[in-house]
Amino acid sequence: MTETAALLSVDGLVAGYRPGLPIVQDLSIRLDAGEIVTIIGPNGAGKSTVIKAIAGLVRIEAGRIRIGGQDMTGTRPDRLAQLGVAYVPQTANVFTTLTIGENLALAARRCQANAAERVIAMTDLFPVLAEKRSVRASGLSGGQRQLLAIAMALIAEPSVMLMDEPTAGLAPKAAEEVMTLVRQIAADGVGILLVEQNARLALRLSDRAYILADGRNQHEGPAATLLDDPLVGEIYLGGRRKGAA
Amino acid sequence: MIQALFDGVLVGSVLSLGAIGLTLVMHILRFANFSHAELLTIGAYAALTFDAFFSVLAPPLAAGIGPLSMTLALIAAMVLAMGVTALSAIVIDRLIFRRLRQQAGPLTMVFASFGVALIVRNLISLGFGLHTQRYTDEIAFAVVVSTDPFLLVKPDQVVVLVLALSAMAALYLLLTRTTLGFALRAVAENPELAQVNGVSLPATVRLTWIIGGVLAAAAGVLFAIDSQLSPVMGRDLVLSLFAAAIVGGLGSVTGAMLGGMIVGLASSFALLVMPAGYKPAIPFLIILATLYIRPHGLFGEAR
Repeated sequence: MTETAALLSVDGLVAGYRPGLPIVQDLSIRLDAGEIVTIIGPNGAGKSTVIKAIAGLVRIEAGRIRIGGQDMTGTRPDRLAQLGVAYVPQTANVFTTLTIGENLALAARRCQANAAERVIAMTDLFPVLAEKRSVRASGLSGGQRQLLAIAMALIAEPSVMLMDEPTAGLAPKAAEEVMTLVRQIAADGVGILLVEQNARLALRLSDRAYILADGRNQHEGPAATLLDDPLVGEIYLGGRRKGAA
Repeated sequence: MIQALFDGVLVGSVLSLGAIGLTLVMHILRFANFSHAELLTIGAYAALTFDAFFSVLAPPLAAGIGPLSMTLALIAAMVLAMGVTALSAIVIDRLIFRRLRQQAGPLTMVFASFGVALIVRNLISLGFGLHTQRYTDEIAFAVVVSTDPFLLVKPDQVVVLVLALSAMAALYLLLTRTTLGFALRAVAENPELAQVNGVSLPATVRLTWIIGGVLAAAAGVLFAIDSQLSPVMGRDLVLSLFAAAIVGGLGSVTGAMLGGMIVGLASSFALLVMPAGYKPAIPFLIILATLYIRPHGLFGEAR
């Protein structure tokens, strides 16, 4: 019996910003449709570099990235975006000099024939964006910017969504709303690979998780198991070892 | 006074065309391209060549249009010159700037642009000679539009102004009404985000050079219609173009349009209060004043 090809599979990834200085080393990840997978780890572990490499923004020195079984290693970011890989960066995730309508229209270029319909679909999904359509994105609050960034990612109906700390800098209520939205997106069959500093929140939301340190996989498993693992709790979730002073 | 205003707007509209391309390249490709003004020279001389061809191959096209000294042959030549200049800009990028973009920093590209400017200028001098030339030897007589205040306008100047303003309006519409324009503005703001939203960076770079080349050719031809062609016209205009781009704010097309007008008007009005010999200093003074008072220009974003 053959194993079904993963929606996204990363095998032995070595990647970094400068040749010969890899930040991510021998990393392997699997993501299936409708699944939420989180990468957690300390600052500087290379979490953001992993998803940037998958999005085609960081140079890959070794390893393979496959989408739906097809080798996409080294594919340009704009081609990946057209092939259904959406990336929501942590900061600078919308074009602040463009209006909300222009941001959405730009993102909808990938949809070609039904671009106008997709823009309407997104403004229906996020009414706050419809109200402020002609406002420059620089005038949005942090939470509204995040919604716009997610709308720009969703507009082309991606199969894989890469999200870099979607709740960073958001008020708790806005963070909770974003996480609810992430759950809904996954429920629609989109595979979501999430990097999150707020590890407890992310693990509660996720199906599985990878723990990264020094650019390598340290642990992986079901999110619930990792959340209850005392060692993981002590090192990565800010917990304390029993009996410690 | 009104004469100085008209002359300033006329020169300013041509400078604006050149400055728009310069500011786009500076913002999207992130380097100060000192060879941009040479694209004006390429455009002007390409039009001179095509104009000569058309005049020989289709003599009816070489007849003047009404009161204008310009001909249909020159207008057709200008269109072809736009294509040649855009192609030249892409070839220069392929041969020089693209390699440096991948391997070196912005400062290296600035130095390289000085080198490109020298090469282009000298190649044109070799091919066309050092002497000044004109598209036509016909004399276009100026018409007295008003005696009080006194205003003298050549019919050619009206056409130059209309063409320059039309080109600017077309570019403005492209940037603000089309997704292609949104893509250009997006790459200028955040190239990585633009790419993950499906915008092809190589295609955008090419488009930037094409727009810069087309507008530079238009500026070069329109400048030469009102003045004359010279292999050093790019060198003479480079400072004014930079002044226009800096006053407007780097990356702002609206700013470059307004900056060009300000530089043109300042140079024109300066003649009312100082000897003509000081005119080349005006762009310098404008750059200094802008950097002192508002370093990011009128429409640029503070960093």
